[in-house]
Amino acid sequence: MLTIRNLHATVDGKEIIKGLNLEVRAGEVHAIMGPNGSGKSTLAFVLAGKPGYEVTAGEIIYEGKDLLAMSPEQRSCEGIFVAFQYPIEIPGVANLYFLKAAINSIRKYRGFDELDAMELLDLVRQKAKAMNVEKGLLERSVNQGFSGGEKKRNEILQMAVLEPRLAILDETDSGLDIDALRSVANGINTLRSPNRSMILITHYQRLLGHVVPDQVHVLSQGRIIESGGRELAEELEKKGYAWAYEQRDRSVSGAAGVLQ
Amino acid sequence: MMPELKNLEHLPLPLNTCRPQWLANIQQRAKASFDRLGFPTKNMEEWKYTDFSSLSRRIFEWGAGPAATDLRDISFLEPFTLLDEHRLILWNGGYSRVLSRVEGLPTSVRAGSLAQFMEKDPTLLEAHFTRYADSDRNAFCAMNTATFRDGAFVHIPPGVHLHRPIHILFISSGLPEKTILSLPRTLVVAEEGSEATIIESHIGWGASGYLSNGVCEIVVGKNAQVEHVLIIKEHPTASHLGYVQVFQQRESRFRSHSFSLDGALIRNDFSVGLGGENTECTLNGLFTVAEGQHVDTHTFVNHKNRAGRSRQLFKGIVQGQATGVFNGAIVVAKEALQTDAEQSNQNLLLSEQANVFTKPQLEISANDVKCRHGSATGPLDESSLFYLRSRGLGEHQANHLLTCAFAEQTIEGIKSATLKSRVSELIAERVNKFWKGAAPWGV
Repeated sequence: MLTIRNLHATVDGKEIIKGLNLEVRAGEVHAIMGPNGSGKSTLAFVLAGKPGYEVTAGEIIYEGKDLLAMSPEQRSCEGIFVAFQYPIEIPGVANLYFLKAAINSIRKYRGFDELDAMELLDLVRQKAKAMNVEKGLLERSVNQGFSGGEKKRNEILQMAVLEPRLAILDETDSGLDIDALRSVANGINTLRSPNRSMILITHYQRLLGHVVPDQVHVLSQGRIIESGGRELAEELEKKGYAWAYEQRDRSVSGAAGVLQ
Repeated sequence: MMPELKNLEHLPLPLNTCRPQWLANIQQRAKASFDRLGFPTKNMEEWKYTDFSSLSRRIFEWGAGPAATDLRDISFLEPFTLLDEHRLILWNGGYSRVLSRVEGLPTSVRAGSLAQFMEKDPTLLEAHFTRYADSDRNAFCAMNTATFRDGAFVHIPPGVHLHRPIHILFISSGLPEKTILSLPRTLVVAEEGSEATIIESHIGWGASGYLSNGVCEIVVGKNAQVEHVLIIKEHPTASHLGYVQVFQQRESRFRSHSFSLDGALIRNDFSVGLGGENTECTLNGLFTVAEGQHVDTHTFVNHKNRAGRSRQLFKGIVQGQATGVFNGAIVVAKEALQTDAEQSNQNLLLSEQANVFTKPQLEISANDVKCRHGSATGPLDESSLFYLRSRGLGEHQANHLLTCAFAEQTIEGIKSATLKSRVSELIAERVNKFWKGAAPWGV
C-alpha cells in the first residue's frame, strides 16, 4: 500500500525528516509515536502534499504510484486522507456543502456519477449518526466555533464519508476527554477493514488502548529508531522516550563495535 | 421630441411641457449647479482615485425604449427576477408598461412611472422628490436631476406591510458606436409603520456604449422598515454612477445590501441621514472588480439625532490589475448622543497586481458615543486552500469556494430566502469567471 524509502524533508530550509523508512501493507494499522519535534506532523503534511514541505531526497510509493508527483487533490482522489491535528475553520462554507463538494470531486475523478443533494444527505446523515456527530454541525460553517472534540469528530466524519484507502490520523486523540476519545476511537475501529490501512500518529499510548495497532514505530529526530508490536507502545508509556533513545544508542554503538 | 444631447458640459433641459412649476424650478437650479460644478477631477478629494473626466468629451445620445426584437426575448432578465415579486421595468430610464407587473399590489400602494405620477399626483411627489439627494454639491446628481425623463416611484402608505418585494429593474442598452445616456431615477417613500423590500437592479443589455447615471431617494418614515437590495450588473465595459440617498425618520430601520457585479467604471455613493431618534441602519455591500475594471464605493452615514445605530460591512474582491476603492465616512453631530456606529471594510486580492485604496473618515462632534472602524486586505488563506485540496477539491474549485465564502457575509440578513439564493448564484457566476483558466487538478 505505502512504501517510504530514505525520506528527507525540509520546512523553511530546515531538515525535519532525515532518512525515514516505512512499509505499510493493506489492512494494517501502524502507530507512529514520538516526542514533540520528532517530525510526526511533518510526515503527515508531506504525505498530504502541503506546499512548503519540501522533499529533498527519497521516495514515497503509494499503490505502485509516485505519491510525490501528485497534487494534494490528486492524492485525496487516489484514496489518501489525512485527519489534521488542527483542522482549519472555514467561515462561509457549510459543512454539508463542503462534504458534497469533496465527495463529488473524488467520485468524478474515479469515474462515478456525482451524488445529488438527497443521496448525499442520506449518506452523510447515516455516517454522522455512526460517528456520533450531531446533525447541527452539518449546517454550520466548516469547523467554525467547533469545540476541540467536535473538530476531531468532524475529521473522522469526513474520513467515513470519503472512504479512503490509506488514512493518516495526526494526533486525533490529543485534547480529547475520555468520552470523546472513546467515540473517536470507535469511529476509527468502525472504519478498519482488510482493504484500508491506517497510520496513527500519536504522542501518547492512550488511543492505542482503544485502537490496537499491528505495528508501533518510534520516531525521533526525523527517523524511525525502533519498531515493534503493540507491546512497544506499552513499554514506551512505562519507561518514557528516554528509554527508546537508549535502545537506539545501544544498537548504534553495537553496530559500531561490529565495524571495529 | 427630445432636445439634442451632445456634450455633457452643456446640458439641455428636457422639453417636458407637463412639468409642474416647482419641478421646473428644481431642474433649472440643478442645471445651474451642474454648470457651476462641472465634471469632477482627480484633484478633488472625493474623486481622488476615480476619473470620469474622459466622459465629458464623449458625444451622447438619449437612449430609446426596448425595440420589438428586445421584447420578443427578455430571457436575459431571468437570472435577476423572482417569481413572487412586483416588477417595474425601465428601459434606458423610460418606464415600460408592457414589461412591468404591478397588478398584484395592494390598491393603496403606488408603484410605477415617475413621469406619470408627476402628472397624476404631483403634490404627493412634491413633498419628497429631490428633497434629499444633493444636487448642490454632487455634479452627477445635478446632471440626473436636471435631465432625467422618467423613473420609478413607489409609495407605501402608513401601516402597510408588503409581503412580496418590489423589484425595479433598470436596463441600459447601448449602441456599438454611440454613447447612450441612461438616467435611472427612483423615489421610494415608506410612510409611518410600513414595511417593504425594494430590489433595484441595474442591468446592461446589448452593446456597451452607454453611461448609466442613477439617483435613488428613499424615505423611511417613523417606525417604518425598508430593506433595499441593489444589484449592479452592467455591461463589462460600460460606466455606471449610482447615488443612493436615504432619509430616516425616528425609530425607523433601514437595511441595504448592495452588490456591484460588473461594469468597467463604477462609482457608488451611499448616503444615509439618521434624522430621527433611535434609528437603525445597516449598509452591507460587496464589490467585485475584474481585470481592467475600477469600482469606487463611498459611504456617508450621517448621525444627526440621538441613539442612532449604524452598521457597515463592505467587502471587495479584486482580480488582475483592477482597482477597488472604499471610502467610508461617519459623521456624528453634536446632538447625536449615544450614537453607536461601526464600519468594516475587508478586501480580497486575487492577484499581486490588484489594488485597493481604503479610507475610513470619522467626524465626531458628540460625547458619549461608540464608533469603531476596521479594515483588512489580503489574499486567500493558504491553509484553507490546502485543507480543501486535501479533501479532493481541485485548485479552481477550492479558490472559487473560498472566494464565495468571503462574500457570504454580505448576503446574510437578506430577508427573502429566494432572493438570497438568487444573489448568491449571481456572485458565484461572477467569481467563477475570476477563476476561469485555473487548472482543474492543479497541474
